This record gives sequence, C-alpha cells and structure tokens, in this order.
Amino acid sequence: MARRAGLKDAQAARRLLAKADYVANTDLAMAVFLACELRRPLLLEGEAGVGKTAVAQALAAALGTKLIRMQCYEGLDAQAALYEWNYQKQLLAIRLSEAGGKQAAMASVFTEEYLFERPLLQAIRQERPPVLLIDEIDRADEEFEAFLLEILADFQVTVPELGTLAAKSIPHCVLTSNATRQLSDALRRRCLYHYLDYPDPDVEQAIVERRNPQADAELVAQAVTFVGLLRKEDLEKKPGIAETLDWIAALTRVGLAKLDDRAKLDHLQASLACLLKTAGDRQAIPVAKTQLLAEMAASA
Amino acid sequence: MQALRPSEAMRGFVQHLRLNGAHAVMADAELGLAALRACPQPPSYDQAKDVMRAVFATDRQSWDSFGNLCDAYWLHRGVKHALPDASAGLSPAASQLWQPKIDGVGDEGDGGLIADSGADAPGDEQRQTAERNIKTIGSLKGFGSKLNIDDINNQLNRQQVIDQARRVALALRFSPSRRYRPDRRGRKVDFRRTIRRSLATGGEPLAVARRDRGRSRVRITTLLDVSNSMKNYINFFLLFTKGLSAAGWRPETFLFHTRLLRVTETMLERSQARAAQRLALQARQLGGGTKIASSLLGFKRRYGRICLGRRSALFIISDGYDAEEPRELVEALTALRTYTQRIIWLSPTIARADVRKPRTRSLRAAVRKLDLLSPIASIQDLEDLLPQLERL
Repeated sequence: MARRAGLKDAQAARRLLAKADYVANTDLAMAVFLACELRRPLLLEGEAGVGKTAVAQALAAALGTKLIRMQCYEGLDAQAALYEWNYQKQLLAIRLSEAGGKQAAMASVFTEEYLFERPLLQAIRQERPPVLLIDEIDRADEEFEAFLLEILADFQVTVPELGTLAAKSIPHCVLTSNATRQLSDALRRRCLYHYLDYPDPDVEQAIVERRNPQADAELVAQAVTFVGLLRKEDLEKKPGIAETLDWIAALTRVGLAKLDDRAKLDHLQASLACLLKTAGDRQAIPVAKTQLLAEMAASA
Repeated sequence: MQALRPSEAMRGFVQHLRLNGAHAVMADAELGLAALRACPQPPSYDQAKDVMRAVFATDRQSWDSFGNLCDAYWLHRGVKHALPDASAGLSPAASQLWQPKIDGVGDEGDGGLIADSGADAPGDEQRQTAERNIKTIGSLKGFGSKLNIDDINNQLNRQQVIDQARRVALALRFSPSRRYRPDRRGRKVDFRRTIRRSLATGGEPLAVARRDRGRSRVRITTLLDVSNSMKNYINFFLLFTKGLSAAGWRPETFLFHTRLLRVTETMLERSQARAAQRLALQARQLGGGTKIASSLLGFKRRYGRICLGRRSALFIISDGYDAEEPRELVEALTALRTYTQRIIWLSPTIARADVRKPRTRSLRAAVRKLDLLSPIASIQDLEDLLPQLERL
C-alpha cells in the first residue's frame, strides 16, 4: 500500500521529525504517523512553549513541503482565512470597460484573476500536499470554528461567484491550542488529539543539545533539572522549552559553568529573566529559593 | 467463551468510554480500527494504546484517564465501569433539564419539581419554612440605598434589589463582537457590496456600502455560596440572582456549599410562593461547611460545556471562607477560565480597601484569576458595580 508522506510506522515518523531537529516521544510520533496515514487533522493541545507549532514546522521541513500558516485571532473571519476579492482591480476593470463603451458583466470581474487566495484556499490548491498550520485555534471565535469544520471535513471551498473549488491535494493539517477556551466537540471529533506536556528531562536535554550543540553538557543537564523543578512551583507562567533554550544561551554568555557557583549567584538570579516572565513569578522565586533549586539541580 | 470480533470489541470499548464520561461515538470505533490497521505490523498493546488514545481522547482530562480506562476494558484491570446514570444517553439539552436526586429531594416524574399535593408535597415543617421565606420576602419595604447588608436582610426591599440586579444583567447583556455586519450607517467600508452595487452604474456614482460591528449576547451563570458563613446574606443574594435570571439571556443559577445544586428553573419561577417552596425543599441540608474548589470543579465538569462559553460571564457569590486549600481554588478557577472569559466574584464581607488583598487565604490566592472582585454590602455597591462591569 502506498503510504502517504512515505511513513512506514511511528518510528519512521519519529526519525522524520528528528531530521528537522524535533525530538518527539513515542506517542507524539504515533499521532503524527496516524494523522498522515488517516488524512486526519492533528489537534495539539498544551501549555505555551511546549513545541506545538514546532511540530508543524518540523513536519514541513522534513517532508520538504510548503508550510502554510494561519494565525488565529478573535474576529478572524472567512475573508481573512479563505479568500478575498481584489476590489481595486475589480473597480479599475469596471471603469476601463466603461471607458471602452462596454457594460462590465458580473462574471467578468468575479473570476480567479481577481481572487486573493488566503491560507485555507492556498492550502487546498497546492499540487503537492502542504502542511497547513492553524495556530492557536482557541483564539478564534466559535463561529469561525464552525466554518472550519466544512473545510476540514470535505477539503473543498464554495465561492458563491465561482462555485465549489475542490482540493487538488489534501494538506497535512495541524491545529494547535493553548486550551484558553474549550473547543467544540464537533471540531475535536474531526481531529486526532495529542496533549503535549512539558518534556521529560532527558528529552528536554536532547532537544537542547540538538538546538545548542555548543553548550556545555553538564550545564545543560543542571539547567534542565533546574527548569523541571521550577515548573513544579506555583507560577503564573511556567517556562517552556523556548525559555530553557534562551536561558542556557544566556548562562553560557555570562560565563556560568555550574549553577551552584555561589560567587555568581547574582548572575544566576538576573538570568532568571529568561524563565520568569511576570512580576509575580519573579517575586515567587527569591534569591534563597534560586540557590536552593540550583543546589538541588547540581546534586541531582 | 466465544471471542469477540474486532469491530464488536471496538464498539464495546466505545460503549465503555461513554459509560465513563467520554464523548466517543460509534463512528469513532471504525476510525479506531482503521488507525490500528494503518500500523504495518500488529501493534503491541502499548502501541495500540497510543493509537487509540490519539483517536478517542478529546481533551486533557480524557487524555490523562485514557490509560486506566483502556486497561480496564482490554485487560480487565483496576477501574470499574461507572454505573450508567439517569442522564446517560440524553442530549445535553435534556440532561441540562434533568435534575438528579440531591439531598434526598425526589425527582420522580418532573425532574425535581415539587408536586402540588400527595406524598411528594412538602410537609408541614417545610411549608412553614416556605411561608416564613415568603413573609420575609413579601414584607420588604423601602430601605435607604446606603444600608448595610444586615439591615437589608431585616427590611428587604425586594423590588429594588431585583431592579438593580436587572441593571447588572443588562450591563453585561451584550458584548461587542469583532465580526462585522452590513449596516448602512456603520463605519467600515464594505467593498464587496460596494463593487456589486457599482456594477449597475459602471462605477459612477459609487454608492459606498458600510459595515459595523455586531453585538453578541452574553450568557450569565451565577454560583451562590449558601454555607453557614453566608446565611445572613442568602436572602439578599437570592433576590439578586432572581433579578439576574429575569433579565439575563439563557441564565443559569446554582447553589453550593459542599456540593452543587442547580436551581435555574426555580429562579425563573413566576410565582413567588411556588419558588420559595421549591427552594426551601431543594435547599434542605444546605448550609454546612464550604468546599468552593470542589464545587467549582463539579460545576465545570458537569455544566461547564453547557453553561459557559466565550461569550459568557460567571458570577461567584461567596465570602471566600473555604475548607479546602487555596491552591485548589486557584486550580479550579484556572480550569474555569478555559471555558469563560469573565469571572466576577462578589463578596459581602470584604471591604472595598481590601479588594486587591482580601483577608481570606483562598480569596487572596484566587484574586489574580478573577476579572473582578467586588464587595457587595449595600445597594450602593450594586450601583457602583455597573461601570466596572461595562469595562470588562
């Protein structure tokens, strides 16, 4: 049987993502494999900064296909997501035909020549299946979610003036959500689901080593443990993987080789700006606590 | 024993998931089998579990509990099947209307309604309580707008409180939508309609069509703490919630102490006597300790999807005295925030100066998860609430 995206099994999906420097665990690899195989959209839910968007980016890079990204926001409507007419061009065409003594027909200005393709239409009109990333779907309105159901179910779009435009290829759809609101059951049912949690320390260490190979291995191990401990604290915004990467880059830059270096405790405390992004969180981790966590991380 | 065919086994699994509260449907059984067949070799049990989790899980809760449910069905291990409750299989609308047996209140026939006569009718003692309630509510006459809440309880002006609550509901009733709708007097140019119109005239004169923002209705849900520490304020807030229910769009009202009780229909009752009777019977045994976090989580689990949404407002009316850890309340509010954008906490016991730093531990921890924390100790406070709500 011809495999879509050329994936044989979940391990193949894992290796594929690894090619694009994405370290996936077994169940995420299985979800990606199934999404490709069953032609189902994949809904990734999880805290901000755990690598949901990166899955789509890595998949597109590894498959060597186009990544079409649609960033959702409140008020996003079909025109911004699907298509828009080029009104200026239409107006000019009408005036030109008038100047030429002809009456402009409706059919003549509502053709593909005057159509702006927005991400959803672009995605289904590609010859080669692209990766369609619908990012932060929880930010969009419920009405837009309902509209999306038609696209995800049938992969066709109806433009009143042109008729139904069927998909040339079925895109690999990845939807991400930060779970700031509850998505409808109808949308969830049409998708495969994966909850992306903060990675285990060994996975996070592997991610950091791939992304920042120059970083000292011992420092990386300590930093990853430290961030893991920090995530257990009662914080408003827990640090994600991107924050870990930034922090390790910052530590390397200020010349910290070990977290439990008491002489550089001030540097360590200052560098927490990379991890703690609210005033409340900064207050929740005073110097004494930082020192304690650093010592625990160093002795782990 | 005859072995089940894969399709039958998978359908049984879907049934098992549904009995345990998942939102799986029979069509998912086919998808589950297709997903398993997509694996090149027969998958191991753990691999199959990953496959089925991707297909059947729909949110974090079902994602976390899936392993146990899977083991229980396929390995007959650990978790027992939950007993099907009376609401299983009903549509959300139907289960919304169905009121289970709570605190010994009968639900025969009319879903918790009290029969007018016969065995289910309230006894003498309940009648007396109901009559007392009616008297309290009925004898409320003119009180000043600066009165303390204790004074309000003594001489409640029923209509004034209800009217004020209606104004609160109206202040929240609509929220501006980001979506544009055609409107001749609106501000934004609607190019599509403009072009269509101009085809008839060749672009001259150009009749510019415009669009304006739409307005969406906001659904109001109220959770009222009826524990012992709130007993002096309950009458006042019941009137308040009645006013909210009367003016709100698809309103919902719940009482809670250590458990949750849905009283929406009672609050919408036109007959004051019947409403008081129903409430007196429904709220028997209420008034013990308070478990705010558990009640909020119970509300979220059972009614969250039905009552809350992006355009909704949740009123929590409580003094904040809680038998549970503050951390649990914060977690419950965080979970509720995924369902609604506006959480408004009204407290009869905090002073206006303490709004940013309330004295109760729970409320102090929870305050950053709230959109508004407001003291309600007088009619004037209700008046002051209006501009704050309009800003939300």
